[in-house]
Amino acid sequence: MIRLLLIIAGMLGGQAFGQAFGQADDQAAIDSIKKNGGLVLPSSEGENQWDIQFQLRGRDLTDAGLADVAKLGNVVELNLRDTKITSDGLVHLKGLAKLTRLHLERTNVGDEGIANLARLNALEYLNLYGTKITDKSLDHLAGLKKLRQLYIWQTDVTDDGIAELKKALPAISIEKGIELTTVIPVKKEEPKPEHDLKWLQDGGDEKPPAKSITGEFTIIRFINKRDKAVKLFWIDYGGKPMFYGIIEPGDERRQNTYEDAVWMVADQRDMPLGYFVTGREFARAIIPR
Amino acid sequence: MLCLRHTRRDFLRSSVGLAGLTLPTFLKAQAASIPRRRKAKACIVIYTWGGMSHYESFDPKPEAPVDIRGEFKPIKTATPGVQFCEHIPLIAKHSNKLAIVRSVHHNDGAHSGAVYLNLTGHRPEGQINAKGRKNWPSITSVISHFHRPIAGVPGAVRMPYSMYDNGRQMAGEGAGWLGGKYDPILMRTPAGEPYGGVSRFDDPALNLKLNLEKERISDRLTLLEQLDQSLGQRLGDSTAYEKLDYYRQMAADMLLGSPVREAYDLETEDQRIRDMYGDHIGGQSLLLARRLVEAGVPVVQAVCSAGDLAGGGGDNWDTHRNHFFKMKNRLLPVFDRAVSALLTDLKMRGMLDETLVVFLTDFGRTPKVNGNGGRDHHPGVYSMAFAGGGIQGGQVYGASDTKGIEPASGACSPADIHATVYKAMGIDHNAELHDQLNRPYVICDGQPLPIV
Repeated sequence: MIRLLLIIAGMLGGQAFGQAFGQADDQAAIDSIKKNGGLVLPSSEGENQWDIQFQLRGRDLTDAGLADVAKLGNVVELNLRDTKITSDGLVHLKGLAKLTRLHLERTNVGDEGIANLARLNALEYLNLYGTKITDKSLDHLAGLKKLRQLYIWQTDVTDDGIAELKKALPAISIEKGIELTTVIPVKKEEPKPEHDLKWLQDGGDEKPPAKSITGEFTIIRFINKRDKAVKLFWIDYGGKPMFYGIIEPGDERRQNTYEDAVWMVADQRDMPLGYFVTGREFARAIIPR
Repeated sequence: MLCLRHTRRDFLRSSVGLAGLTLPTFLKAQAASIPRRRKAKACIVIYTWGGMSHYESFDPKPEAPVDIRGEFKPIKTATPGVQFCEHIPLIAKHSNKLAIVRSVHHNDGAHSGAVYLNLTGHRPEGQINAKGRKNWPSITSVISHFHRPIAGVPGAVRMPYSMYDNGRQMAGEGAGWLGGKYDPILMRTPAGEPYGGVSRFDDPALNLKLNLEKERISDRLTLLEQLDQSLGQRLGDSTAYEKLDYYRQMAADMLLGSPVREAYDLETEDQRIRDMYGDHIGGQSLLLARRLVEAGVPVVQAVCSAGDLAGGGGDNWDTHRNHFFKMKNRLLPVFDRAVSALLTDLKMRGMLDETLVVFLTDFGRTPKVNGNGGRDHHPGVYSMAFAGGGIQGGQVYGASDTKGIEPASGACSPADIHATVYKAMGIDHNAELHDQLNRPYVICDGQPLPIV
């Protein structure tokens, strides 16, 4: 109900309207939060409770701006990801007794700031990844009986610290994340050509098809064994040659293509020298001397 | 409807008789042990375009005759008693985050109808076309209607291509009668080796990278002119003007300093995270999806395929020919790495509980391997999956029969899947939306599966 009134108050643009219902303080705090780029959303958790988000438009938020959040009181969710707050600012969160979900990830907060969270007994979710915290922070959290989800990836928290906290809070799930040094990039294995495509000399007995047909994906390695550069053309689905590139003498060209494609090799004056017709397998196409 | 919730079933089997624990008591106990369910704030739709084989993904049939079970073996997952195909070993380790549905079915064996059905949750009526404003809206459009983004952030994004079959663009990816304002913005993923095959570029896709490389743009009018030049000639349909205008305004907003602009620049991501997703447009699309969700985009769709099925070449899931080679070498490795990276990443960043990940596809593949070593279209039964967003992981809902031909239990429809998504997103699946003429439609005629 109060939420609705506040919305109406906002719609009428009248702070006076809010004041009439004794919401002046809240409204002033909300205005100030919005001025700092924060979003003030009614929480789905209950009436007159707030979900406040600074991570989208309010990343310039500093410690001083957190005083407005403290004034608002009934904050159940608060997202400060990527903002400029530090440990000093967290003193403003001390009184947020209804806070269930707090995002501090990717900020400069450290152990001395986390001490301010020790009495936030409603806290269920706390995200601290990418902050400066150590095991000392976990000591401050040991009394938060409702805390179920804790995120500490990319911090200096140790396995010993995690074990200690789990003794105090057996139901907690602590997400340590992966060690990025263990990520192994996929090695791009160059497919090994299984055989050589037949060289169909221009004007020879065996003629290539007049055009390409599309089929399965394959890769061809063209190798120029001539002592002069050659030009490579794909004969398209309508029978027209399409220029793909020049292969210098002794050079190779790796070409993605499809089975039943016709490739034409020509000299520098575009006079055809010969053709290759692809199959399904990865193959070499050796342009002879 | 039989609920094959493994954890619950196993528990009941082992203890009901012994301890005399009744079902309601157990449910109450379970409810107390699980923290209050949260509504998801964002959704990532992963669409395996062409129809992903259920046999070679989430529903292997090792007991079936060899001409049905195929060449691959099953492997264990992190969930006792649940097996996946051996070529998704990384995803198998995340099964405790996944709710697999093995009993989806419908009766439309054509890509056009099946895509429409799986993306809108409704059967196509008469002739459908991609730009049609009589179409039902895509699930992404509906979600963006209920989960409004902040100014300058699009309500829905899709990438990296539109879906085409034989040169015909598929209907169902757009907002239909909800209007151009709710059309997902098509974005070209800026990095990663492209899928092999044909991709059509005649939709206005936003390439923020081009503009990122320019000096910071501060003059909105100049920017709009530039966008008109790059997008203008591509639109030939009747709704072009409306769409373009919305589109260019949104594009301008994004380029003028929205969090989306920053998210789009994958160069700013830790290289090791990029490697984790894989240097492929499939992996980089899912990485971009995570970054867009962080930037406040409520729903993102990534198509795991090249754009056009024509000719059977290229990286799509429509494996009528050479099925096992393609699955093993081209499709499943990218899918496995990208999806497992996304789940790892969302989890360690504390985003998974508020981000619903949904896997959709056209249909399954036929039991018998055909003469070309392929599997054909099979809408009779297929698999999909959910993760995150309040979905209980480590469960399997429904089952196909021993040969994977039709549902054996828990038969459900694409509409039921949509209802489940809506429930997880805190959207009433019986809600009414209005078309451009203010006529009301109930958004979904399915029922949520009991997995949320």
